[in-house]
Amino acid sequence: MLTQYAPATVKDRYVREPLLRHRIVTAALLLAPMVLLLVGFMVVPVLQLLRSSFLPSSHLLDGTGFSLVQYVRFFSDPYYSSVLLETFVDGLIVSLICLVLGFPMGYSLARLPPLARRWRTIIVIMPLTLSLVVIVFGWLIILGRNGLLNSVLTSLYIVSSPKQLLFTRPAVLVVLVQQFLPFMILSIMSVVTQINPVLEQAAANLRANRFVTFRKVIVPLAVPGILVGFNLVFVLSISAFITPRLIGGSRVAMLGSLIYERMMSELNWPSGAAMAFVLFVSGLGFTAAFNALAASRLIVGGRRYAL
Amino acid sequence: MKRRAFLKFVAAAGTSAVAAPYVEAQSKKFSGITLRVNGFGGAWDEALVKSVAVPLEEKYGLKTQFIAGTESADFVKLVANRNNPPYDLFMADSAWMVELVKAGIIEEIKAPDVPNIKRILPGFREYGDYGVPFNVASIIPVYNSKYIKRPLTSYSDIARADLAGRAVIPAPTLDANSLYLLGLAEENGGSISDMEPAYKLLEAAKPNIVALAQTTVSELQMFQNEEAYAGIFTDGRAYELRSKGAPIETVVPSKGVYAITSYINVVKGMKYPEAAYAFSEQLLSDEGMLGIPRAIRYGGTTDVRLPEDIRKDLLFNSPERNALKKKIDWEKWIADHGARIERVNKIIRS
Amino acid sequence: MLASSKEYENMEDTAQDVGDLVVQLQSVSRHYGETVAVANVSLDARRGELVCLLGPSGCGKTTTLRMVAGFVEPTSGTISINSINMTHQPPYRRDTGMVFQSYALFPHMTVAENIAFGLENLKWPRAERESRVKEMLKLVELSHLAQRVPSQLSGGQQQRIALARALAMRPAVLLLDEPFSNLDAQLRVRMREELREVIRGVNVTTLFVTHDQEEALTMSDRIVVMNSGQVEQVGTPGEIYEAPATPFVAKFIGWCSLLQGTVGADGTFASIAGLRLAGKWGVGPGTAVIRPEQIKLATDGAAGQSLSARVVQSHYYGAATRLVLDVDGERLTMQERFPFGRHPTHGDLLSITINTNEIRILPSTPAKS
Repeated sequence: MLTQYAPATVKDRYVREPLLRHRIVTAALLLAPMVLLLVGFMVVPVLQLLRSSFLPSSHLLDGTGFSLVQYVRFFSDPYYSSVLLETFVDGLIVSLICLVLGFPMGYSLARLPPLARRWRTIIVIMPLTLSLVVIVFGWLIILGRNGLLNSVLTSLYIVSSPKQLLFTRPAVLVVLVQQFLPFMILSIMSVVTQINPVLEQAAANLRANRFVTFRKVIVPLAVPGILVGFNLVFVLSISAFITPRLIGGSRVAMLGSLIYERMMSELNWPSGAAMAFVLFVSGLGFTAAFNALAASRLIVGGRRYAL
Repeated sequence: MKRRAFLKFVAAAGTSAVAAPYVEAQSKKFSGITLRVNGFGGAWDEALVKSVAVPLEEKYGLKTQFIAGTESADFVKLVANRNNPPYDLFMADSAWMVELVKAGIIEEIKAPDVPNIKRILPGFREYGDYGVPFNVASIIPVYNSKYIKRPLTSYSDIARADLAGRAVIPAPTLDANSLYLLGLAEENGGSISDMEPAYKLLEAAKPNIVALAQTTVSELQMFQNEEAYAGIFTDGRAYELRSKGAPIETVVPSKGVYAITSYINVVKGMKYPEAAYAFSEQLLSDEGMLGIPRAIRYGGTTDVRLPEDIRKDLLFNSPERNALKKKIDWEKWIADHGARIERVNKIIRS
Repeated sequence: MLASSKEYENMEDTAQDVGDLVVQLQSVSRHYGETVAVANVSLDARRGELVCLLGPSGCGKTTTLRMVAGFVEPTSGTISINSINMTHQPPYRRDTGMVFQSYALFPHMTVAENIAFGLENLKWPRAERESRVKEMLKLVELSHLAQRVPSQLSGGQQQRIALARALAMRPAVLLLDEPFSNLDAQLRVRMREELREVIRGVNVTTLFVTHDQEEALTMSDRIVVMNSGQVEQVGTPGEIYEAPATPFVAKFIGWCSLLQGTVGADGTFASIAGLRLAGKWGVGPGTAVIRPEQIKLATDGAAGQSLSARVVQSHYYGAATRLVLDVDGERLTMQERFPFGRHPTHGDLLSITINTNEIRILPSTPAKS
């Protein structure tokens, strides 16, 4: 029995090393397509974007040289900082709402037998298969002044006359939540399926009611899934631009739609690139800081129990 | 957009033309020649086919092919293929004319070649001998008379307090449609080089504005769904709403109307200038000039006599009205594009 | 270790004075649709008693335990703990402490936090909580691991922590669900002894589920043998082993040979195949239960009936060899230590004696198989 766990002897090493090398080659081959794809279609364009953000011109990719003028324009004008801040606040709100709505759903899905889970999961994923344009137009119908929601509210005498629901910030947030909720549900579900249900029984046996079990056992163990879901929803929300433009009627300022306009309408690519890069770096920084904070809570007794 | 459907229509029209009596066609002046024109799609191109292309074919055996696209993309195509232009004639509005002239890819068209040029109304040809103007779209205030009992009378009325939360304006990214900003400026003592009065008024109008329309189609829907009761729109689209039963009234601001003109241009290096002139001549003729107004009520550019049923729906329908059309420094308007977008965004989104 | 257990006992006495019956199940059944997992089970455990639920997998023993813990609600019947009807109470209102088969330690908490978890929920003051955790760690002799996380512990250590966690709350009844099944053979025996010592030390009423008859025999005060959702027999380990009430119990507890047959008017048992055992049993059809140790080699001069047997199978176990014999057409199992190099093999003929005085004949009851 002991020999099984004995450290490799010199003789063993000769036997094992080719195997190890083989394994590394296999791993490299498996990763290669994705790495190539990422380098070719993400890293290179992002670097080009970074380069163009330092161009001094304000039209397409005209001009040469390095200039900080685009960044100076962004940071010297409090308008942009306030839009950036608002974009982040919106992203946080959307992520939080998704978390609150998605957790019970993801949790209950995870606790279903696999077969029952499968078709319910398909229902969760279904909205993702719809084109964003279709979704947005659906919401226009629901939220319009003569739309479904207003007619329900007025016929129930909750409001006396139809309210302006479209082209408001809450409307944008609601539609963003609807779009990104599946990501949260799936993240939570995947992590909760890995939490042994017997731990909940153990907690119940240790006099914890459902709420305490949820707070002290389920949530701490689901933190990795919560983080993944939160990050996904947050990043998707802060980079959204179609929803704020169509549902917000351009009145709701989110940086994504400003970037889109600067790039596509003004054809001012350097400025758009600079804004995109500010969003990219600050979004990355924010999620990294957030994750580091959350991850530090995953360490118990000097040891990481999850992630 | 029904561009695809229209393309099919054009293709069908083309093949049926081929099937026309061959011998007779050969005797005609421009038989065997096909002019390629960039199209705007939809009812616009259909009207041109009916009032220009079909008569030309009948008279001269000259065929015309409309290739629907967007002005920006078609312009890029034209610039990129100077030696072998993909179009013979190029339709462009006032804003794009700036780029076309600057790029040097269009020919001048002079009155001796196209006699009907003499019929063009004063102030309607903005680029000297470049381009033949054949249609005008006005950017004007509109309102829903079912809800707004006091008619609007000027661009500045968009800031009127009774429109609170009820107005829609075109997004500043749409150069032509944001001409109303120039109207706001000039109605309030400003000018194209001093837009501050316009922005001040926009600031005042902010509580009224529910949305910035990204496209004319989305704006159309807002009026139709009564999301907005008033706003800035184009005269043709307002007529479209009226014809669908929405009580949308068009306002003729007394201090001047801002309009964008559509031109036909002869592309430099095209092979059949004579055919191109014939096309322009037909376009400016009574028959050609009434095609688009009859279909979608965007105004004409010549002294053509307007039948009463069309005249009452058009904005520029009398010498007095025609005099209201403001002159616009398009080059400066285009140059200020970026600054204007930023300014409007800041006002509306803060 | 014993000092703390005395304190535990005192606590029990002052806190509860409700008589001797700590756990009581009355006619408890559990159905899953058409399937009957537990049928009409009644049992009780007295204060300080260690009662074992023994049976093969699927016999309903774990469901019964889970009904006591409150994870499964009975379809009918009542469950009382300390004379209070708990049948429909949620688990967290029941005065039980459970050690799960997989231990179910919280992976995100240290050992100390795991043990303190129940106490926090019971709203113990911090100081008492801390001293109780120390005490429990001392009880299971793992004080040095207080700040570790479960993944850093061995299986045996995890099990002891799970026990400490369950006992920390001073539950009225300790529930153990196959506590040794995840341990390897050697550790299993050691942990069994340790666990028994700890439980005896704190004198807590214990319900214990196992499929291992050896565990049941060594640890329990009383054994409840279950089969197909029903109780086959309740008794002390001695009663269960020596006087099985049914062929199932006989077969399940220890290796034994069961012979179907009839006892004639002279009190002699005749098996269906023809093996005859002389004795003075009650007349009628029945099953003879013959345990390996009741069969000896004739050469040893042991008392009993002599028979000749052919070796069918021979299994060497080191300390003994288990032989399956063909005796007059019946298969009998015996266990014997043979001198080195003289193990019988297949086909060998042996002369054996059967100690018929110790053999029980279970009268046939058609209802039970």
